[in-house]
Amino acid sequence: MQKAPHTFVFSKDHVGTNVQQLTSDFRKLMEPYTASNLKIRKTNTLKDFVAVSSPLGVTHMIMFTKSLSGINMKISRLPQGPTVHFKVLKYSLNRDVNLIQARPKASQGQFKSPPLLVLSNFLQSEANTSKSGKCEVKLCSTLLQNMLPSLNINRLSAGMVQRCLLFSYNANSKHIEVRHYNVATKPSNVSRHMDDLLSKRQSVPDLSPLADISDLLMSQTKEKVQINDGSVWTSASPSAMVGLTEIGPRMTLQIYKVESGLCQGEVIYHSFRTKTLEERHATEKKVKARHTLKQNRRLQQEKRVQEKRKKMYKK
Amino acid sequence: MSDVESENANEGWADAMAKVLKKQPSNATESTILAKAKTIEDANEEDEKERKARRKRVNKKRKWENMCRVIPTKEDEVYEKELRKVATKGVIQLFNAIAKHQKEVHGKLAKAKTEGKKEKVMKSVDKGKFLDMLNDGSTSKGKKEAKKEESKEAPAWSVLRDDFMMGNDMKDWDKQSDEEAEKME
Repeated sequence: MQKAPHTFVFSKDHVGTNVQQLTSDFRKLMEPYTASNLKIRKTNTLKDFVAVSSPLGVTHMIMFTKSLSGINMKISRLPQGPTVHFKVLKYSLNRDVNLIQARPKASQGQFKSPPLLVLSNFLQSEANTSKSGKCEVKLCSTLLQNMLPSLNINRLSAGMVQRCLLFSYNANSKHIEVRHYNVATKPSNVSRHMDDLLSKRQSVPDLSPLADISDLLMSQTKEKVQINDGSVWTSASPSAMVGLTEIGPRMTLQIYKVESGLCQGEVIYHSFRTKTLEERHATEKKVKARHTLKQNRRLQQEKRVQEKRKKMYKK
Repeated sequence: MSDVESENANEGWADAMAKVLKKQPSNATESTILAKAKTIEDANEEDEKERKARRKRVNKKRKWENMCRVIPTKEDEVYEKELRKVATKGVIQLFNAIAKHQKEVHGKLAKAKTEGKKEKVMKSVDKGKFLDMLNDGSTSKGKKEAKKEESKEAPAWSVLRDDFMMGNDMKDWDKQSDEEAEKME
């Protein structure tokens, strides 16, 4: 039995109130398998999150940072990486999205089950990019898929899917659109009165013009069924309709860097900078030198400690 | 005697007053009273400077605060509709595939009389088959992958595998990464 993946969502350093709000909106999106009341201090480092992650079973970390040039989002696998760095090119908060909606929708308990992940255009782009030897799209989609719990197809029912998280990749612009929707289902082929009854929009419909209660059900024949009321509802099958309403937040992302470690290590992909083979060798050498130096120092220190201990015991 | 004295005193007082009154003010424009106080013009000018500086600061902060933030408008609605369509299609495909799959499984379960056979039915559920069913429904370019996407050829690098660090064979995690490090070298 696999455990569901859990996440930490937080912003680091000074990001301002809007990005803080974006962080909390995204945290809401990652419900229920996320640390909803995670509080971080200025003194907290990445090491702290790593240390705490394994006993708590946290598998992924989503970090928002802000610099003078833009907003960044990093998704990394705990405890060893890899890390995918995104640039947040555009974003809208939940309240911005709700503002333009005529009827913002929220079903009860929608945050009690994880969202359904829909990845659009990723497979094709993977096929295209793998030819050129680049793997960032594949890596990104794998990371996203592992970030949310997998579905149990034997037990899943429509009621368990109340939200949908869309990642849509645009191969031309290399942008990833992130949208978050509420998913509602309702039976089609029912009369307007029955629909009112079922949707609980109206506690009891107006029965005064009816002579008998059966008229309520029979009215189906008189009033033609609405297949699409507005643009929200789409008929999924002859008997049911599915309607998606946006919850937010909206984001437009761009992958700009992939690192093999947890915000460190070898840079596997960089969108703005490509290193030549020589440069790569040079950095490899540098890293190796740093590593050996560190090891030597550690050995030296151990030796000293042992000597000191020997002296202590002699006394 | 006293009269003479009082007369002298008045004279002295008058002299002093005459002296003061005869004295010309050094500069007619500059008042001697509260000479160091700012004039209204000075105060206004300084206020203006301060206000400008503050406005600049506030604008800069607001710009930084609203960096990359976009308030959605009605004009975006066309594009948003497209995205919503893609998501809706994905959800519907999954629902239909699951309904089909569950119907199949229920049919098989109804036929299986013993617990052992039922277990067998549950075990025979094929992930690949389900994914094929899911993809059959996709007619447009916007292809939907379920969470359980199966890669037929496992990528060489373990991070790229779907089950990266998700299994319960975590006890050899350090060995695994060592092997990989060797490979990379």
